[in-house]
Amino acid sequence: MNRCILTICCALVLGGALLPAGQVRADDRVVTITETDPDGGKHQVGPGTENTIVDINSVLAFTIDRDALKTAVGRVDGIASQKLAEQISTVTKLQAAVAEGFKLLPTAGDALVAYSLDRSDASRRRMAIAVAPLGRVLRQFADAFPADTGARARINDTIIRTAAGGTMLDKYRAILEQTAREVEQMNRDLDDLARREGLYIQFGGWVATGEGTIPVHLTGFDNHPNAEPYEVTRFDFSIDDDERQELENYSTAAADLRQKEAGLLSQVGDTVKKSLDVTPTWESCLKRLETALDGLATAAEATKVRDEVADMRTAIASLAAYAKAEHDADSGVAMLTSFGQQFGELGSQAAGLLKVLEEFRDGLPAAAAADRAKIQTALNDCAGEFKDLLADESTGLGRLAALLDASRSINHEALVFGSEVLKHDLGSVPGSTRLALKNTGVRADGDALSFRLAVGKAGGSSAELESFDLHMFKVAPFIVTSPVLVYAQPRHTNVYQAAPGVSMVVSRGSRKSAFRNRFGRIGFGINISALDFDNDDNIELGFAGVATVAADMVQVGVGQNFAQNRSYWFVGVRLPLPEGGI
Amino acid sequence: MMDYRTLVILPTDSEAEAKKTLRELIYDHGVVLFIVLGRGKEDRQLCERASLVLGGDDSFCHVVWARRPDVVWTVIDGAVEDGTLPATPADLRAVCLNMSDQVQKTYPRSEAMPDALELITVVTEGLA
Repeated sequence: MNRCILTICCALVLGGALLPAGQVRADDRVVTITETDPDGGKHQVGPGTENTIVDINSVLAFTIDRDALKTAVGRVDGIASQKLAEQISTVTKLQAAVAEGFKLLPTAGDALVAYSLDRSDASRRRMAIAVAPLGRVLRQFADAFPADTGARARINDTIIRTAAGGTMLDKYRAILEQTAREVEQMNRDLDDLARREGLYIQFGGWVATGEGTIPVHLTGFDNHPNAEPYEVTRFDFSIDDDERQELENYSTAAADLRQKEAGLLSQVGDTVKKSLDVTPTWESCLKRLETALDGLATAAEATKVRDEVADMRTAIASLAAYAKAEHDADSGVAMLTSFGQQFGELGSQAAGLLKVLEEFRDGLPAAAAADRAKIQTALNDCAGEFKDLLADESTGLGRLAALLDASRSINHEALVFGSEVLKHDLGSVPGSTRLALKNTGVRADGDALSFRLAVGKAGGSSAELESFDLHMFKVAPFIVTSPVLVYAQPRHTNVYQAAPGVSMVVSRGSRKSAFRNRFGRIGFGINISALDFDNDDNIELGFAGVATVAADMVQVGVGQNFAQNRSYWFVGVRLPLPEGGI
Repeated sequence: MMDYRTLVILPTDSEAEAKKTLRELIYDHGVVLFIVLGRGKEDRQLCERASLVLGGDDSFCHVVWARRPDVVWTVIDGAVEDGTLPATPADLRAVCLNMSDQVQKTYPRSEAMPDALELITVVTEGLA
């Protein structure tokens, strides 16, 4: 079933990508992100980590590594001058060498001290192993600072000053410290050169929600205002108006199903069919296509398209008839299997129809531009209708699509720095910033954040240095309360009774997998159902422990009907149903 | 001024003694050797500089001043045995032998005198 829904989605959305691909390099990260979740836990997320998901109420702290930033700028073609690029390369290498030298120094120092006290062969060998790597570091310094430069003279002066009475260790340390000062000066010179060349750095972020994609405010990097603070409810102990309506629909459906006195699979099958019925949308879609073909009846190709449309209509009618027909209560599995196959064939047929239509449209002569436009409009409208259907989580298909299409996609091409995003000199880029996600406005599970770091040149081109996406879900433990249609079987009976219920479960999310947060999310909690085991039309409350999967869409539990003093187990399904019962 | 903690001045009045001393330094001491060749003013300056820069309680090298390089050249050349040295020391200002008695680097007279950073760098490289 899932596969056929996906087929239809893909066919109608016409190739729209579900997940964006972040463009990040694996080495020398400029931006690192630390997430502080609502419980105060800290997590490294984003580029260079496996965590691409953050808690929807977290605070993100961004750290900009200025040295890595310069390295990244130096690697971009066509922005920095050759001189600046070379200077960046030199500084980068020297910084790395200085860092390596300071890292080696303690071990080398210990070995030198030991060697000064014990001149045995063993001690000498240990010393050689520990100190030799410093030679590689010093050679880089010697190569980088030619003999006739001021920097070289200052390093030599430092060595000579330290040499009088000093140890080798003292001299190594003095060289490293003086070289570090020289590199700092080179860094400042480099910043000046970058400023003279008009280079600037921009860092910006966007949030993509159901309302669209808007910039977010990153302190120090832009003048965007914060959105109205919005905290996503973490501990949800109540149901809202939509869920109340959903519960009422379950109540009506349960009454219908009770009258049928069918088996479990048959009852669930009826519920799923009703929830996923897309016949009205297909009908509307086909009508649009037929209208678009009006006036093109003489063309042989048009006839072919009409035939395809007719086949499609027949397939839908057949499916609808099957869905509406009465079935043997014990043939639930066979019925669902058959229904799934037919649904899958419908998806394939839809894809075929689209292909024929596109071929037909493209085959029309140039003079028939209006006809082409008509067909294209019909296609677009049709795709739009299905998109709306899939995007509406109050429908069963929409909720399933939401589970499968786990995260919101972002159109990266549309992310452009506006005039509110500041242009920083290379040397004055803030080293950090933060984003409290509550300041990004109303958002929901699966919504996305996108960040871009770029270098530009005044009056010239710009280039992206890093970009990455994060998705927001409730990750820290949370409580969700939701209506559900349960099929309860009292102990020692073969009868399944449908009943409306409400489940309150504790759950938590994953930082690695959006799909797991949707389809694979499990929860544990309690369920209260409105049972009527004695069929006297008086409600008996059942209290049960419940485990949920697929974001509470499927539930299993064991409980007690206290009024009847009977235990029961149940399975529950949470798929939206239309008003009016089954 | 010379720092005599590290410096070894080979005798000029006894060829045998000079060779013996150098052989001992090369084969018995297992240290990096920075050998200054010649007795000119610059050679003396280089000796002073090298002994100062490379000295210290934890020093792992000797600065050897071979004022008569022609006398000890056979010892140096014989120790190296890898054909990397010229036939005569006439054009060399100094040579650095590493812990394995191989040539770490030679310094021709045609080039500037090695400075402090170069000295400390080459002997440290000589540990590898």
